[in-house]
Amino acid sequence: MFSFDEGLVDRFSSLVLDSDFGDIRFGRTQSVTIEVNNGEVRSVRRGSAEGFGLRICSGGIWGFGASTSLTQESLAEAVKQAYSMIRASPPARVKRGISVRPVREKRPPDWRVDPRLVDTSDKLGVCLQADSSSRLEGVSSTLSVYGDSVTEWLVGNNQGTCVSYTTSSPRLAVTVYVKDGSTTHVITESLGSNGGFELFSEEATTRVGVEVASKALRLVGAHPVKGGKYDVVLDPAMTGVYIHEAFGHASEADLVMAGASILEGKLGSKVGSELVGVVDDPTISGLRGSYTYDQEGVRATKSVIVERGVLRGYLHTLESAALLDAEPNGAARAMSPLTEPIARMSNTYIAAGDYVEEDICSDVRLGVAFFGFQYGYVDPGSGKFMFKAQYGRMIRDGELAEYVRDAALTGSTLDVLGRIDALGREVRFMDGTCGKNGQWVPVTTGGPFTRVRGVVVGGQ
Amino acid sequence: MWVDSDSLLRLVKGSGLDAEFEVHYSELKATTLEVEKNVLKRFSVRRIETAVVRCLRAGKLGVVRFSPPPKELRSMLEHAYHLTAAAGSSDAQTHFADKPLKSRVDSSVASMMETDAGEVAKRVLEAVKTYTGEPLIHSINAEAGYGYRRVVGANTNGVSGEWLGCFENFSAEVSSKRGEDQASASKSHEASDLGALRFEDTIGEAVKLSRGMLGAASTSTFTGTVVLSPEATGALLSSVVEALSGIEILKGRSFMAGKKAMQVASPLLRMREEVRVDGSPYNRGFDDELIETATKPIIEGGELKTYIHNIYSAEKMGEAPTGNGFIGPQDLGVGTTNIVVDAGKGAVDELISHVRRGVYLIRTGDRPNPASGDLSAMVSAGYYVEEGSIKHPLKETMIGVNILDLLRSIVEVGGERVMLWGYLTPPIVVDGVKISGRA
Repeated sequence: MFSFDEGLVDRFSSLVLDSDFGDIRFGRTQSVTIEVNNGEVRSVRRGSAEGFGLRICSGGIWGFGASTSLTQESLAEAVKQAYSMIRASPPARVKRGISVRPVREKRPPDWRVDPRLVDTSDKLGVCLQADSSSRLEGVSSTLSVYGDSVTEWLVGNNQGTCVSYTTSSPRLAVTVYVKDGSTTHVITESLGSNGGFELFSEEATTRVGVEVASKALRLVGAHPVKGGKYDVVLDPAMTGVYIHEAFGHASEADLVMAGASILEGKLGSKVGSELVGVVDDPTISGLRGSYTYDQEGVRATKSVIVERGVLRGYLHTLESAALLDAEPNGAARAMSPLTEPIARMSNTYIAAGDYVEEDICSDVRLGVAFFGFQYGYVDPGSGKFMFKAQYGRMIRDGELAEYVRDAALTGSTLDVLGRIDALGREVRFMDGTCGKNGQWVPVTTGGPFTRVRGVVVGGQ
Repeated sequence: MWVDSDSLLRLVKGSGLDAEFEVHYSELKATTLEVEKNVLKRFSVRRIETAVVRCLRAGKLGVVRFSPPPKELRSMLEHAYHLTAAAGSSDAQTHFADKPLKSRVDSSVASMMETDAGEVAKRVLEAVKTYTGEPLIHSINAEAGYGYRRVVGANTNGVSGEWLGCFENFSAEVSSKRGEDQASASKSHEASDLGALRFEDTIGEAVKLSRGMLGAASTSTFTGTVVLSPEATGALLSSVVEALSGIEILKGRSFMAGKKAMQVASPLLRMREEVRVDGSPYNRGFDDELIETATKPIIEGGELKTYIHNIYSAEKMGEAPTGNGFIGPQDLGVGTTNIVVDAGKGAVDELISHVRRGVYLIRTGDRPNPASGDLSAMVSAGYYVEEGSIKHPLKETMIGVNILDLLRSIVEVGGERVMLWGYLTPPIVVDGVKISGRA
């Protein structure tokens, strides 16, 4: 067993002298998960994890080794195994000349209350409080989940980088079920950040519970939306998820390099309406997707991906930046030290427009407004996407009308981006968790109210 | 560290703490290799050891998970014990498994550990090369993974068990391009024996599907027939199996609640759990709570025969555990071994030939609302069908149906089954589905 210090990175570097590039991540995580169902404590779990993951690049091929065993022997064995696989493999055609500007920093966490120092019974209290406040009259079932996970990272490479920092992603999610005849309405809301336990004040946790229950109760009597083509208005939550899923993933440079993105070869080209600007910014203080360094030890940077409808850049790892002749922008994230850093988003949003929110439905004769986000996915290679809202409201003659349930929309990324014709003035954010290649990382999505013309809405 | 069932039994029985304990230890070694744009890009090897300790004391449950486990496993017992005092669940099960286990499922881990990663890479690259340079093919990405998992468990009732399982999988993602038109498709294959993985066939299927999706168009909005591919059938039935989880029913979020012994599907549908299927990496002799797994009917002649339980949900619902306890990275829930649907008659082409107007759905990533069963699903890969023949690939098209209506509206079950992600399923045909498009 060894302690986390710069000596670890130096030892690793001495083992990979004859590689083109080598880097390593050490991590130590403590986590707590609490689940309360209808006021009953369903489970309380504590977790502890540690390990390392290392990469060696030689002759254009990467070898990756990871282990939960933090011993000198395991480290040496992982290096040896990575080398042996590289040597055993046929030569690659692509050379990956990675050159980094070395950084050395020990970055302290900037939270007020370290979640690891909070008693489990206090965390349970937060969960019970939220659950209790969500059990309004008419609610048939509730489920509240509190989770926190704090990881101490040490990231370094054989070109001199060595940074240590701490990531944290506390989150409280409250789900409310309301029975309505033969159907059940389900709404989930959450409260999360990249900081400490201070987020969970009594007022904030109560508000989450009451808001989610109120939304679910408003859906009583709602019918499924009738499928077809409509003008639609997306609330900030749906706008954020659209830009994250449908566009953001396609801007991840590893997918571009793999030929699996509709944005391949489109730098400098028009990809959407002139109204549209798309930003990924991990430096925004306090958001769940924020961080200071990525898992390659590159300083986090605000990236403008789309400006006035024109594609300006991708989200890079060190490798993709080297191959595509771009500057690294701190977008390489790994879920844990046991997984490899891949290009990811952080806090992704559509920039504000100039429309007054109240007017955005005004010239929609028949449409659907989408509120909240349930789930969605995209195929970045073809641009096909699908998103489901928590609920919808019909728009009739410019006014919000009856509530509808199970509202979903589908389309092709670039086609829909070109159909945006109004953006509200205020950007709002929503926290979430994003999955890619089996890795889940905390993110935030956002944007203003957005109007899109002529989109396929699914229904029954 | 080496852990066996005898050492775990000694640990839990000799804890000296006034509580019941269950220890679940697992060791995983996984190797993957990735080919990107036809070129070998990456090898990776992961070794992960994890232990989960559950402590039952005075009606409360405390759970701790350590990865890697500490050298002194006893300290985990103490952590879990103290957790029950601080904030343990007050809604816990009352006991751990108490019946001795009879069976084990072992496979050839030794041969797996000796696998030469370089040789696997050569086989994959040869398969990729077969299709590189084919017309319209823009890129081929592939990933092969293999490894083993060893699980050991024991509890204070004296129940203990061990199993070893191998897994192998291969997936290919192919992108096709014609001018500005781009389409992509993926295919996966899995087995418990590396020699059985069909690299070339899997890539070939993805190439065919990807090219077939070029020139996609939307359709008008209508109510018609949907032919689900075996993979799409498996994906949708997996959401039905999830809804049968006693845990989900207790949480009030299952569209299958209150439906046991009722007619929930067309009489044509026969679905069961089989704990042993030749070549499946999902075969297991006991679950994560040390209960024997069991082959059992789930839907027979359209009637729902059973829910799927771990010890907790079985107790709460007054039923017997079904051997489906599952300890995941985040959750204590339920899981299944192999889900098998009986085959009917006819290949997909034959089923399509009976359709007057509808969709051949090859893939969707959507799942129904777990509480209501309402499904709005994007056609990720699929074709518009008219008068018994395929007309064009689809984009910007959704199908909308309640999953219970879908099950009851099955009018045909095909004969060619495919095994994927633990589901051995045939194609099925469903009538009366709302299809929404832009045209």
